[in-house]
Amino acid sequence: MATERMQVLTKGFFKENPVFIIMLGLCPTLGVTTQVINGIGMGLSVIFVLVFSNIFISMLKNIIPNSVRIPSYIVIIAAFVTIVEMVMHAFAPSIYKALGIFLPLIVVNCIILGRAEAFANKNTVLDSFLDGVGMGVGFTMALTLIAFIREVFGAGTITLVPMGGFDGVIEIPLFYTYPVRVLTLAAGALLLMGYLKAFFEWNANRKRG
Amino acid sequence: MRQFARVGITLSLIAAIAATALAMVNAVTAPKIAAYELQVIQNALTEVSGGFALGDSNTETGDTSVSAVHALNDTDGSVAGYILQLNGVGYGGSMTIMASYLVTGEVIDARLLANAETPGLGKKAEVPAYMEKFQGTGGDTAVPQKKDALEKSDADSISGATVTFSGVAKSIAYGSDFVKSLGGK
Amino acid sequence: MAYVAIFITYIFINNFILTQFLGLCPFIGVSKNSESAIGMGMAVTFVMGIASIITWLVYNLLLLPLDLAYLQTLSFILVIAALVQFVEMIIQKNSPALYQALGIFLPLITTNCAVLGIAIMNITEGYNLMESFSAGIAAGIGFTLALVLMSNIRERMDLHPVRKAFKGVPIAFISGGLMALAFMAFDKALLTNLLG
Repeated sequence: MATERMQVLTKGFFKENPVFIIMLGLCPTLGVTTQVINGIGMGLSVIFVLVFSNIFISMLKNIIPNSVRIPSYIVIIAAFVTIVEMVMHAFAPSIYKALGIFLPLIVVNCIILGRAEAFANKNTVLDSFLDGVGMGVGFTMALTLIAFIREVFGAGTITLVPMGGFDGVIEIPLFYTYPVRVLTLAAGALLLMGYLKAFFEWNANRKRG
Repeated sequence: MRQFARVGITLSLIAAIAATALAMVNAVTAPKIAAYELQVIQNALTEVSGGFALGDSNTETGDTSVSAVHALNDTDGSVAGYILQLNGVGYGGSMTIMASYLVTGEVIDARLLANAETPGLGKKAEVPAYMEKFQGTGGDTAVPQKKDALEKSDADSISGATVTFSGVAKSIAYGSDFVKSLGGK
Repeated sequence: MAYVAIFITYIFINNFILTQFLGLCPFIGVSKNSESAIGMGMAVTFVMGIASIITWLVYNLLLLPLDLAYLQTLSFILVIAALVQFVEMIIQKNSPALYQALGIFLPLITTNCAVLGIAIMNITEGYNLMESFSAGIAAGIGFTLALVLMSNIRERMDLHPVRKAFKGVPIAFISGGLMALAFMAFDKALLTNLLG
């Protein structure tokens, strides 16, 4: 029983990683990963929205009539997204501005609606909670990986949170002077995504033997 | 009919609860956001004031490119210059530039505030030192608006971000003319 | 002149898919059939245009005057969901063939980042009603352009051997990346020089 619960939680990390395996939520994945902190910020926002919407939708699954379930889910998801927007604007304005249009676009992030439709409306609140955390963490890990590659090779820096005397930007010696600029642009992101996905496919094929 | 009513009521109820929750969060966060935005403006005003004291402000400028005019007062109380909050257009969209001028239209300093420029390229204009190429121009000498009007080192530093540069330069030049038209009032 | 700029911007310079990453899911998942790509693109363009109008009206005539700006995300997505539902019903009634061809992609237009994206962008950029409508149509045309290009490329790729690991999605992304590289030719500097 416990291992089943763990499964629900951990499947989102690798086996059913929302970005690389199920291929959902691609728009913000490429849009915000120019800096590591933006990838992390977006990931955390999605975790928040995913977990709470999963919980609420699971709680209300027997009350929401089937014919209006999609609009109802959308209302619930939109509410949590707006909460994240407002709180972030007030308490972390620089990340809010960096995420830009992708923050409200979490509403149409296929991952959240997808999990609501595929999991939360059929499972218990606890399982939905775990699924939300698992998928959200998997999403964050994928974003951080992509952002790390794009920023280190594309700009030669790693941007984190300014703390005390540290201005938040770590400069990588070689890449800072000779960055591969295209990675920070749209074209590079799409190319990187193609190669990363090919790598994961190759890895999965290898495992299958 | 009953089915329709049940569906309609459930959806409306969910929407109403969502809206109420948002209103509550808004009540908490809105003042903080407003205070933060105000702070950003205040900081920028202080940075470009060039040592002068802030005088009267005017937001009814009658000009869509200038959203606010703040007077800069000398130690004897007379108007020594102006700070203008300018609306410009850059590579990624609209930009807000805070620029200060002497009454002759000469640029004291400037800061790039809200913008959507490319990180690593156009965003470098947010660094205070970027504005050094504009300081002192606008009075007797023209504000540099094209890459070839700059020194070699400056021209190199804006390479890859010329649209950002043009946007900033155009706004600063516009402000300089605007200040000249105020006639040192 | 502003309208020319809007069209050039959203079709080429800030192409929704190739520059802004909005609308990627249908782009990657698009069938190799160019006809359904055009059909999908036109449906999305239509929704984007009408959605731009309605959301602009909701924001400027309802939310702003009542100081309810924070309800923007919520109200916009509801408008879009209702609009897509409506469009679905119309297509089903008038052209069952098209309805069959589009299949699941029709309701999925609701979650297409491009539709909500242009609605929000119209507000951020401060466009008036006509400009918002133009931006919606232009963004839709840009989306359709990228989609049609991609479906044509995939059609051709079917005839050539591709390494196993790259088959399907990875090669689609790489093709998209190369397309985006090509579209970088449409730079803002080009527009500035063209229109002064």
